[in-house]
This record gives sequence, C-alpha cells and structure tokens, in this order.
Amino acid sequence: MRVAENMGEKAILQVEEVTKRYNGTVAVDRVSFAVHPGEILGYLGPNGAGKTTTIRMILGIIEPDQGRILFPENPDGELRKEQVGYLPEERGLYGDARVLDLLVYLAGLKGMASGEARREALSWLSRFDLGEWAHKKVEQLSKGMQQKVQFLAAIIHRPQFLVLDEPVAGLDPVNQDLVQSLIRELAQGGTAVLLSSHQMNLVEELCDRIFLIHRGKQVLYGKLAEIQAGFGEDFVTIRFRGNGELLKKTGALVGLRIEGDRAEGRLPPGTEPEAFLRSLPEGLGIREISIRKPPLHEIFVAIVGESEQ
Amino acid sequence: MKNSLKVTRWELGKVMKNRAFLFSTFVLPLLILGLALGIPTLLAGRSEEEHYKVAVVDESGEVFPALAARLSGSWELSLADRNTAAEKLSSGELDGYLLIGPAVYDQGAVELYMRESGDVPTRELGEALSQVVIEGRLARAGYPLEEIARLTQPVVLYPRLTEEAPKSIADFAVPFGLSMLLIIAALTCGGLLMYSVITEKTSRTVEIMLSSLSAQELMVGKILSYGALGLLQVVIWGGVGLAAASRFVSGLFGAISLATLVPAILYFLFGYLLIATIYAVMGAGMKDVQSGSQATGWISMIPVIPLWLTSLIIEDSNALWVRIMGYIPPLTPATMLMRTAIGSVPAWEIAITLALLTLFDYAMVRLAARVFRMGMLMYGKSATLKELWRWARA
Repeated sequence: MRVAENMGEKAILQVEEVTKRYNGTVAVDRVSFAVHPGEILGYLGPNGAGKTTTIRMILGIIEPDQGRILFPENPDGELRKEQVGYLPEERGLYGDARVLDLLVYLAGLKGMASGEARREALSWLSRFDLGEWAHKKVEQLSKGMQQKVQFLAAIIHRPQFLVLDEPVAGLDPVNQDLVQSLIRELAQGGTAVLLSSHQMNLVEELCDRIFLIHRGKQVLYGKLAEIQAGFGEDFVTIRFRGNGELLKKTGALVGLRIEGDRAEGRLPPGTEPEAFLRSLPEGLGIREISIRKPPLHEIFVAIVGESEQ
Repeated sequence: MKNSLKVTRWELGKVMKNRAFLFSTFVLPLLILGLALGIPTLLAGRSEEEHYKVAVVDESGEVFPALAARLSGSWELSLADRNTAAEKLSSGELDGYLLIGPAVYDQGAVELYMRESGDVPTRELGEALSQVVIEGRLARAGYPLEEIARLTQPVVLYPRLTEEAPKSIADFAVPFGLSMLLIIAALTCGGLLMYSVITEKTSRTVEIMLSSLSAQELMVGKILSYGALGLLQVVIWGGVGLAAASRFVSGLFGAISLATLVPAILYFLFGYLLIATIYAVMGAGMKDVQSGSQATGWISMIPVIPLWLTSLIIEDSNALWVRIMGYIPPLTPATMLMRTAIGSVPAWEIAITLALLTLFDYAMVRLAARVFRMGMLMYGKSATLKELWRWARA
C-alpha cells in the first residue's frame, strides 16, 4: 500500500512494504508508513506486535527481509547514524561512567566534536535540573534521573529524526510534563518524531497521526482526529450518586460498563447527544457527564481486543 | 573504523580509571621490583662497609706480619695475648681471634674463635693463612724469596668447551616465561572483554550503541581496547619480571632475541584476536555474567587446551601431536608460543601456522560480527549453540 501523502513536506522516513521474519514467524508484515519533518507519529501496538522489530529495522540494527526503508533526503536513501536519535524502551547506561563523560562519548559517536558536546551536555543537564550531577557516576543517580540522562543522550546531537520508545515511563508527573514539552518543542523545530508508547493519553496529546500495528500488520494509519471520527459513536462517561442499574434498563448506551459510581459506553448509532441526555433516567443522580470522541485507549482496546477474540 | 577507535578510547579510559587495574598493572610490579632490587642491595651494602676485627695470638712469632700484609681492606688484624683477645671477643670488641701455636709450620693447624658461626668469613682467612704458612715452610727449607713466589704460584683452570653450549636456564626460561605471560594476557583480556560485552548487554546500553554504530564497529572497538591493555600489561610485567630476575641471574636480557620476540608477539596478537572474537561471541550469547550454557563454556576453553598439556609439550615440543596442534588455529597461539620458546621451530612452520591463524581470524571476525549483533539484541535467555550457528549463517 502507498503511504499517506497528506503531508505537504517531503518525508524524512519512508517505510515501504517492509517484512521481517524470524524462524518462519512473520514479525512485521508488509508495513508502510512515513514520518515528516515536524511531525510526531504515534507508533502503537500491543506487546509483541512488531514495534521493536520495526524500530530496529529503521535504525539499521537489523535488515528487513523484504521492502525498503528510505531516508529520501539522503542521496543514497540510507540512514546516517548522526541524523537519528534513539531512546529505547530497554533503558540502560554505563553505571560506572560519569554523566557528563557519558553524554560527550555518546554525542561523539554521533559525530559531535567533544568541545561542542560538552557545552551542549552541560546546558541540557542544567535545563533538566541535573547540573550538579554532571560529574557524578550514573549509578549514583535515581532511576528517574538516569532516564532523563538517557533522553538527553538521544537528543544532544540535535537529530533530524527521533525515535522515542516509552519516553515518559517511570517519570514523575513533573518530569513527564518536562519531557512532553520538550518533545513538542523539538517537533516545532522541525524534528520528525516516531513515538511508541502504551500511554494513550500521551499519544493523544502529542501525536498528529498514529499507526497501529497488530500481529505484524497495519490495522490503523492516519490522522488521529479522523481515526476518532471514523471510529463512530461518541464516547460517554458518567459519574453518578444513585442507582446505576437504571442505565442498563434504558439501553441508552452501547457496550455499557459500570464500575462503582462510574459508567462508560458509546452512543447508539445516529443518536444525538441532546436526545441521549433527555433519555437519561431520573434517580441516577448524575455528578459528572462527558460526551466526546472515542479516546484512543478505547479504540486500541476495541481493535486489539476484537482481534484477540 | 573511526567509531571503533572512539569505542577503544572510551573502554581504555574506563579501565584506566579502575583502581584494581591500576594497582595490578602499575603499583604491584613496582612494589615487586622494589623488593627484588632493594633487599639484596641493602644486604650487600652492609657487607661492603663491614670490617672484620680479628686479633692474632701468634705464639709462633712469625705468622702475624705476613698475614697482616696479605689481609687488608675489610680486615682489621691486631696482635694480642690470649686472655686479652678472649675478653675483647666476649665484650664484642672483636669479631674473632686466631690462635696460632708455636708449631704451626709442622702441625698446619690454626684455631679461629668466634661468638657465632659466620661472624668471620673463614674461606678468605683460611686461604691467606695457608699461603703464609706454606711460604714460611719453604723459607725455612732455604728457598730464596723469588723462588718461593714462583713455587707457590697458583694454578688457573680455563674451561674449554668442545660442543655448543647447552641452553642456559636464561635461554629457556625467558622466552618460555614471555610465552606464558602472553598466553595468560590473551586469555585474561579475552575474559575481560567477555565481561564487558555481557555488562553492555545486561545494562541494555547496547541498544543505544547500535543506533550509533554497527555491531562490527562496536566489537572491533572493544577487541582493540582489551588487546592494547593486554600488551601494556605484558610489557610492564615482562619488563619488571626481567629486571627483577636479572638481579639474581645474569644474561637474561641477552636471552631475548628478535627471532624469538617477533613470532611471539605475532602469535600473541593473532591469538588474542581469535580468543577475543570467540569470547565476544560467547559474551553476546549469554544472558548474564553467571549464565552461559555448558556448551558455550566449553568452546571458550578450547584455546586453553595446550596449557593443560604444558608438561607434555615441554617434554617433547617437536612430537608429532604437538606439531599437529600447532596447525589447528584455535590451538595455534598457545601451542606455538610454547614450542618457539622451548626449542627451535623451523621458520616455514612459523610462517604456515601464522598464515592459517590469520585466515581463520579473518573468517571468525566476519562470522562473529553477525552472531554478536543478534546475540546482543536477545535478552532474557542464553543462546544455544544451534542459535549461534543459525545466526552465523544468516
């Protein structure tokens, strides 16, 4: 299939009909997508769907069996290691190395001169509130701090293309916000970002488009808003004080789930929100109600869950 | 290659900051050298400055002047009567005294009194006394002085060898010691490399590394760094060992010739490369430092096999089975390092075994890079031999 051509600019990364097999099992099956400058593409899928394999192929760590991975900007179409930054899901740094030395070393492998790398590293460390830890050993840092250092290692050389696998996992809410705003800032500066995460709220907040892979195959690909609109009915969440069982009797929601004082479900096809509100039974004791496009979480669960059954 | 060198520099920098490494490479050899050179110097220093105070109770009345003239330098001889001499000896003013009886020329016996054995060196004193008494006897027999000098002229023995000199201990021990040092360095550094690879894998740093450089560049960088460390340790330990040993055995440095050194270094380098690639692959296939299947463990032991057979190889380093082992690349480095150290190995054998080893190394590095990449990305379990083989063919 052809990749979405709805972006104006030339893609930084173009994945075309890529397939990878391990011992006869197809890990990635004819997957195609593109990432454009300034775009954050959400790369989603359940565990074992083929995400890491795709990422490793993009980074040139393993070769695809079929298909092409192109970086159209480069005359030979090949990825230059210095153009890409990578934050793997499997986190790890040399524990016995000093933070600044390690950042300078990793930046050096990306072709950055050591003087420049040192200046950049110090500036980023101070922005991440890690300035005083620059000369400490990595193993002396907390897990969250180490994670921030690893994030810095992925972006210190100002890559054109950034692959982030679960970038905020394990961070406290303050640092999650910090990393999130930084990802946004990098994209605004023109960096193309491929973001893989199971945190659907993060993907909803950051991504323009998403690609959902399941059992090695593409199941969804496109603009998030369009996917949500295309997924159909509006999603309803109700918090109540009264008798939740009344909701079941009205049949006002499809796929109704009630847990404690909270009910979730979808509007039946063709139902207007106003009509739905009017149909709500008395005695429910509504405290809070929201009607919105289906959240990504629901879409994910619906698609993946459906195919699992 | 540029990236490999960056990895090498980083790895070297890391090890150079390791206190245990610094101690074992620099401080320990210096301490040993200091001990080896310092203690004998201290001991020797005392004996050079010491004077032996010996009184002579000369009841013959003739021996003392001649003896005093013959013993000078570190000897302080004085005439004394027996009681005074005995008192001075017990009070520690004297190291000893000689009792020369009136019939010394006939009896040929002199008594030496000391507090403890070794207080006075008896050999030099005995020789001097002997000479003086013999000369005295000849004078009494009427021989003129010049004749006496001629008659008592000692005989010098000049050894003349009719066959080529057999190898001295230095000729054998130095190349053999160097060979063992090289084998041990290659194995130790191979082990360190394997540990570094496993640590890289278990710390999950490898994912980031492989997004910046190829698996082959990473592997080559690591191999180079630990090879350089091995050489550094060989140079330091070898140098210190030779310097320390040469204090006790002469001619050690002369025992190292270019003809033994060059093949030894080549066997070390290519041998290390082989061992390092094997160990790098094994490390990449292991889940963690503690694991590693029995099969992979056995493979890592293959280059060590000749070491188990050291005593048999020393017995006959040109036996057919030893020569055959030299042609089997994984066994070549240790076998040939021992063979070249023990006996003379024809140049053509050295050339062929080195050529085979080089070819094998080339093939191994190419295979290892593939296996290394796949192994490094596999977490949670150790690779089986079957898996390693499949990756190598992929």
